[in-house]
Amino acid sequence: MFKFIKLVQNENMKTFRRVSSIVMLAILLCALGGVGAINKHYDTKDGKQTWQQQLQAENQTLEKQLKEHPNNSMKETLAINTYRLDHNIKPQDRSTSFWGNIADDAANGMQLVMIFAIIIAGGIVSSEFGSGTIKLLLTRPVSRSTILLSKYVSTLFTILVYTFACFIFSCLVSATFFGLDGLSSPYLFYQDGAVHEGNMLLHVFGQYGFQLIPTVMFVTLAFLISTVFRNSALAIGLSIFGLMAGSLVLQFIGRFTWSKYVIFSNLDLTPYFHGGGEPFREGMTLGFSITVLAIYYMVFIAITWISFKKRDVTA
Amino acid sequence: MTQPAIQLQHVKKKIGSKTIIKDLSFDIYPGEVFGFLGPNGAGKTTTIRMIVGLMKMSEGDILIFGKSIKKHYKEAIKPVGAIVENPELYKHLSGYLNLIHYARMVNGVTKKRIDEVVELVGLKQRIHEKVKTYSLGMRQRLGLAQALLHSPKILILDEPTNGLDPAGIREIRQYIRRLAAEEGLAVIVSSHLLSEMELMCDRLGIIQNGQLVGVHTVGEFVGNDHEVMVRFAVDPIDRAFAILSEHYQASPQKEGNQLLHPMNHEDIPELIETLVQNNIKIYGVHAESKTLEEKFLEVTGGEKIV
Ligand SMILES: Nc1ncnc2c1ncn2[C@@H]1O[C@H](COP(=O)(O)OP(=O)(O)OP(=O)(O)O)[C@@H](O)[C@H]1O
Ligand SMILES: [Mg+2]
Repeated sequence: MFKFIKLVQNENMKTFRRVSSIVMLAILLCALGGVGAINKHYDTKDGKQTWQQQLQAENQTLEKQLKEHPNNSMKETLAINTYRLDHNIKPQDRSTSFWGNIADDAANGMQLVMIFAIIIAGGIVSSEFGSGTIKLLLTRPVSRSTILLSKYVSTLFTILVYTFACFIFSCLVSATFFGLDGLSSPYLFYQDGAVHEGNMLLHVFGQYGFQLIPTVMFVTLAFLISTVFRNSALAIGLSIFGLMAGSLVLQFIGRFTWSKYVIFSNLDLTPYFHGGGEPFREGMTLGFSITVLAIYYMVFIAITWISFKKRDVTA
Repeated sequence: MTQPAIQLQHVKKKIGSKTIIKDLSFDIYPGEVFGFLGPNGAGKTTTIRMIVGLMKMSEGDILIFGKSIKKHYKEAIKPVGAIVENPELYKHLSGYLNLIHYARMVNGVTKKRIDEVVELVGLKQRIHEKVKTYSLGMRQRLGLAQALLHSPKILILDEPTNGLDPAGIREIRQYIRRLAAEEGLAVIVSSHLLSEMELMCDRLGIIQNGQLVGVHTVGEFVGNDHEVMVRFAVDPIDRAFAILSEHYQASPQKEGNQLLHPMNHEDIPELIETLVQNNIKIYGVHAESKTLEEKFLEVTGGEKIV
C-alpha cells in the first residue's frame, strides 16, 4: 500500500512537472476571469429598479402566461420569486451575483476541466510508449496491473486538482467582480408544492458533482484509447470528439427506444433531481442511468486492463 | 556448480506466423560477463525483452536465480537492472528526479545510494538539470545509473556503450568488469562494437536468425587459430609479391608498401628465410591474429553487421 502511494506520487510528479499541465491551469484562470470581466462589463444595470421591483414585474408576466398555458417550471419560478419578496432574499441566480457566477462556472469552467483532464488522461499511458520510458517502467518488481492502477488513480487525482482549482478561481473571480454581499444567501428550491431553503455551498458542490460524472466517463474513455492504441493524439481527439458530438448524436437517435442505452443519454443526472427538467426519455430513472453508466465504466476498465496486462511491449 | 543467474530453457517467440526466436537455451552464471552477439535482426533485443518480461515468450521459460519470469515475475525481476535499447528517460524531469522516480519503485534505495550512483556514473555536475539538455552519452550514463540503483545481481545492457566517448567506454567497461569480478554480478551485454565485446566479455553467445550458433569463451573464440594474417614491410615489393605468389597458391594482398598474407604460424620463419635468400630487404614482419570481427563474420556466414 505504501508503495502504491509512491507510484501515484510518481505519476503526479510526471504530470505536474509538465509545462502544459501548468499552462492549462493558467488558461482556466484566464477563462474564468475573462468571463467574469465580460459579465461585469455588460451588466444590464436597470439602475432605477430595485430587485424587488424587477421580481414583481416578472411575476406579473408569469401569472399572465400561466393563465393561458399552465406550466410547472413557471409555477416554480413564481413561487420562488414570491418567497424571495416575502422573506427579503436578494436573488443569487444572475451571472453577475457572487453565487450566480460560481454556479455558471460549475458548468462552463468544468467544460474546460473536462477537456484538460482528457488531454492528460489521453497521454498518461501512451506517452510512456511514445518515449520508450515504458520499458524502464515495466521492468520493476511491480505488476503491470498495479502500474496501470496507479496511473488511473493519478488521473482521477488530476481531475480533482483541476476541479478544485476551478472552484477556487471561480470564487476569487466572483469576489473580485461581484463582491461578497450575497455570501450567506440560501439556495431556494421548489419541492412538494412548497419553497425550501438549502445551503448554497452544498448546491454548488452538487453542480460540480453532476459535472464530474461525464468528466470521469470521458477521462476513462481517453485512458482506454490511450492504453489500447498507445497513441495520445488519437485518445485525445476521439474523446473530445465524443464530448462535443454527444448532444448532436442524441438529437439524431432520440426517437429510437434503444437510445436510452447509449452512454450520452445517461451522462446528465440533473433531471432526476429537483429543478432539473425532464429525463432524456420517458421512463428513465436515476437507478437506470446509474446502472447503464456503471456497465459502460466496467467495460472500459476491463478492456483497458486486459490490453495493458496482456500485450507485448515493443516500443 | 553454482546456481545459474539466468537460465533460458527452450525459449521460442512467435509473432503472427513468424518465428523470431527458435528454441534458445543457455545459462549465465554469477560473476561472468556474457556478450550477446549477432547481426541486425538476429533477435538480441527480442531475447532481452523476454528476459525482462516486456514480451511474453510463446514457449519455454526463463529462470532468474531459479524463479520463473513467467510465473513469479515480481520476485524474479527483483535482482535485475536493465537498459533495453536506448536509455529512454523522462526528458522533462531532471536526472535526479528520474532516479527518485525509479527509487520509489523498489524497496530500500536511500538518498545516499542515489548520490553514490550519481557519483559513480560521473553525472554529479549535471544531475539537477533536465534530461532534455543531456547529450546521448550523458543519457547513457543516467540509464546505467537507474539500472544500478537497487544494487542488482544481474545487469542486462542492450548496447550500453552506444554514444559514449572512448574514455566513457573504457570507464563503463572497467566498471562492468569490476562489478562482475568483485561483486559477482552476472552481466549480459549486447553490442555491435565487437572489439569492445572482446575486451569486456568472458563468454560470447552468437545468435543468428533467432538461433544460437554457438557459445564460446572469448579466448577460444579469438585465439585458438593457427592461421594468422602476416604483414610484411619489404623492398622491393614487386619481387616479394612474385616470390610469395610462387611459394603459395594464392597471391598476397598489397597494401601500400606492405604485403598481407594469411598463413600458418609455423611457416613464418621459413618464408623469411626464403625472402632473405632472394635479397629482399625486410623492414618488419607482423603477425596479426584474426579479430573477433573476422571470426564473427566467418561464423555468421559473412552477414553484414553494423
Ligand atoms: N513487433 C514485432 N513484430 C514483428 N516482427 C518483429 C517485431 N519485433 C521484432 N521483430 C523481428 O524480430 C527479429 C529480431 O529483432 P530484434 O530487434 O530482436 O533484433 P536485434 O538482434 O536486436 O537487432 P539489432 O542488432 O538491429 O538491434 C527481426 O527480424 C525483427 O524484424
Ligand atoms: Mg537490438
